[in-house]
Amino acid sequence: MKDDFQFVEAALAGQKEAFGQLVERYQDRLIHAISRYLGSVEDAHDVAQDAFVQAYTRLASFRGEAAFYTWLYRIAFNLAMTRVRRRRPMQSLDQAKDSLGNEPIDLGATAETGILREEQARVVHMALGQLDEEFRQVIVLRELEGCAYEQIAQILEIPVGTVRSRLYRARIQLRDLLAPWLTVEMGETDQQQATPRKAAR
Amino acid sequence: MNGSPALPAIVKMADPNSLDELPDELLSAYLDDALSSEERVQVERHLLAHPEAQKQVEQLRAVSSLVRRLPPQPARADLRDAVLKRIEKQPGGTERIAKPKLMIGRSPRGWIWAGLAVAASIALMIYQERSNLNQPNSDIARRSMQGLQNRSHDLEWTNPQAGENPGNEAFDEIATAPSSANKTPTGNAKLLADEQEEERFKTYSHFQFAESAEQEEELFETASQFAQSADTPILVVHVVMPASARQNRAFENLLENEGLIDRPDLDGVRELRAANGVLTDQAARRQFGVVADDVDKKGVENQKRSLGRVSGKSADSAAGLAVTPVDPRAEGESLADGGESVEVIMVEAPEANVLSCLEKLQSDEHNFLAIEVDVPEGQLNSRHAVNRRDKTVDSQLAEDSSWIGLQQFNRGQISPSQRARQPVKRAVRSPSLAKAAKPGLQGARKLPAAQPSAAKAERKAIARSRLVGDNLVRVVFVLGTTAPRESVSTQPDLREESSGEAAQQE
Repeated sequence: MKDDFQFVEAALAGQKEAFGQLVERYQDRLIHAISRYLGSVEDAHDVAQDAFVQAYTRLASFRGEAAFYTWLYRIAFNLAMTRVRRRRPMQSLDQAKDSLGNEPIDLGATAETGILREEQARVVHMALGQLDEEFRQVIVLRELEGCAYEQIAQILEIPVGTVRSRLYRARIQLRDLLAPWLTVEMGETDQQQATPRKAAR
Repeated sequence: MNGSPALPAIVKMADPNSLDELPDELLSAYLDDALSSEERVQVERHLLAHPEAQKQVEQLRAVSSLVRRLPPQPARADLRDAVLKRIEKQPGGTERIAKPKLMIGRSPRGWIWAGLAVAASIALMIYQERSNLNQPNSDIARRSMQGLQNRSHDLEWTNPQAGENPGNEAFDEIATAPSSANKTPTGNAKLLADEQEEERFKTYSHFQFAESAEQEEELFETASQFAQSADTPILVVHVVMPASARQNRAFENLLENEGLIDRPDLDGVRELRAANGVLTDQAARRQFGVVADDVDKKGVENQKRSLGRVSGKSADSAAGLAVTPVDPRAEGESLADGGESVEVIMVEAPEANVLSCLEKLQSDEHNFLAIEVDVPEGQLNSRHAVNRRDKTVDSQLAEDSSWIGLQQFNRGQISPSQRARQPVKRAVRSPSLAKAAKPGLQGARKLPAAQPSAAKAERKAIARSRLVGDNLVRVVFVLGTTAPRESVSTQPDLREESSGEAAQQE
C-alpha cells in the first residue's frame, strides 16, 4: 500500500485521483472527530470538504514533517473552530438533540445493548455539545483523536500546562453532565478491567 | 485502585499525610500517563492517602471511556467525489497556489513603520496621480496636499453635489461600470484588465525595522515599493487582538488558512537577524527563496527615484498623516506595550482572498476584537468591495471627522466592552487638510442606508462578482494588542518531562 507521501507526490504531479485516495483514507476519521466537535454531521462534512480542498491547494507546502493526517487535521480543526465561533451563541441543548435525532448514528450492535449504547452515545454526544468550546476542543483531540498533550498544545497553540488543566476541567464538566451513566460505566470497567491506559503518545 | 498503574514499593511506604496538597488536574493527566516521574510519584502517594481522590480518578476514567466509546461517524459516500469535483474546478490545481508566494513581514516598532508605509503609499499614489495630470513637480509634501485637496473634488462619487448617483447608488454604479473606474486619476481601471492575469501572484517583501538611518532608508524604500504600485490598490487593516491570541499566532494562522501566507521560518529570521544586525528585504528573499524579480522592476525604479527625496518626515507631512501615530494609551486605549506590541504584516493577494480573510476576521470576534479597514482615497475598486459590506453597520465611526480621507470598516457585532477597547483612530490628519478634504467625504458619510431594492441587490451581486476576483490587492495588516486578559486557564505551563519510567509502568 502506498504511503501518504507517495500520494501527495502523485497529487502534486497532477494526479488528482491520488489525492482522492488520501481523502478516502482519512475521511471517516476526520468526520468522526469533527462531527463530535461541531455537534453536527452536516457541518462536519462541510468543514471536511473545505479542509480537503484547502489541503489540496496547499499541498506543496506539506513537507512531510508531520504525518499527513496531522497536517490535514490541523487545517480541518482550524476551520471547525472558525465555524464554531461564527455561529455563536452556542448550539442549545435542543438543537443538539435535533441534530442528533436527524442523523441517527448507526451502531450496528445487537438489540438490547444496542439500544442502551445508542442512548448512551446520544447522551454523551449531547454532553460534549454542552461543554465550553475550549474544553470540547481538548476532549475531542485527546479522546477521539488520541493526541498526546504535546500535539494538542501544538494544534491549539496553547501551552502543555493549559492542555492539562483544560482536559481536567473538561472531564469534570463531563462527569457532572454524565453522572447517571458513570455508575454503569464504572461497573463495566470494573468487570472488564482493562489494563491502564498506556502512554499518551 | 482499579486500573491504576502498579505503585512502586517506596511510595507505599511513604507517609501519605505529608502530601495533602495536589493540583487536581494531575489526576486527569495521571490517567493519560502524561506526568513527569516526580508528579507521578506525588499522585500515587496522594491516592494512597485519599480514597476520595481514588474515586475521582475512577470517575474521570469512566468519563474518558464513555467518550472514547462513541460510535464512529463515517463520512458520507459522496464526500470524496465532492472534494474531487471542487478540486477539478480549481484553476491550475495545487501548483500555482502552493508556491511560496507571499511573505510576511513584521516590525517590532510597527506603528511608525506602518505609518511610513501608509504615508509612502499615499504620497506615491498622489505623486503618480499628479504626474499623470502633468502637474509641475515641486516638493512632495506640497503636491500631496494639493493632491488630496484636488481629489476630494475630482472624485464625483464621493461628492453628493456631483451626483446623479448619490448615496449607495454611487457605489453601485461605479462598481458595475468598469468604465467609470477609468475616470479615476490613479488609473486603477487597470485592475479590470485581462493582462494582469499572469501577474496575479507576485512577491512580497519581508521587512524588519532598521536600526540605523541608512538601513531605515533602504527599508523604507522597500516598504514603499511594496505599498505603492501603479496597478495594485492597497488596504490598511488594523486588527486589535487580545494578547493571548497574538501569542497564539491566531492572525498568522488565519492568513495561513486563507492561503495568504506560507509561514516563514521565524527562527531562520532571527538567526539571520542576529548575524547581520538587520534583516534586509533581499536577505529575507534569499533566505526564503522568494523570487525577487517578481516585482515590476520598472515601477520599482520609478519609485526609487521619487522616493529618494522622501524621508520619513517628509512622507509624513506629504501624506498629511501623523506617522508617529498617537500613542494609543494617551487616548485612553488599552493597548498594551505601545509600539512594541504592534506588528505589521504586508501581503499581496487576489482581492477575493483578501476579502475572505476580512470576513474571517470579522467572524472571529474571539481572537480579533476590532478591525478597521482603511482604504486610501482613490483606491476605488477595493473600496467598494470592502465598504459595501458594512456601510450600514457602523455609522458611529463614520461620525469621526478626523478620518477624512480614509473610509472605515468596522465589525458590527462587537460587544460594548470590545468597542470600548477598540482604538478609535490611528492616524491624524492635519487640521488644514481635514478642512480642505471635508466637503467631499462628508457626502459619502451621509449615504442613506436605504433598503436595497431587488434591482440594486442584483447590481450589487454583479458588482461583487466583478470586483471580487483575482485582482491583486496589497494589504498592510497592523496588529495591535489589548492588555492581556485573564484567560480561563491560568495554570502555568507545567513542563512536560519525558519519563521513561512512566512509560514502562503498566
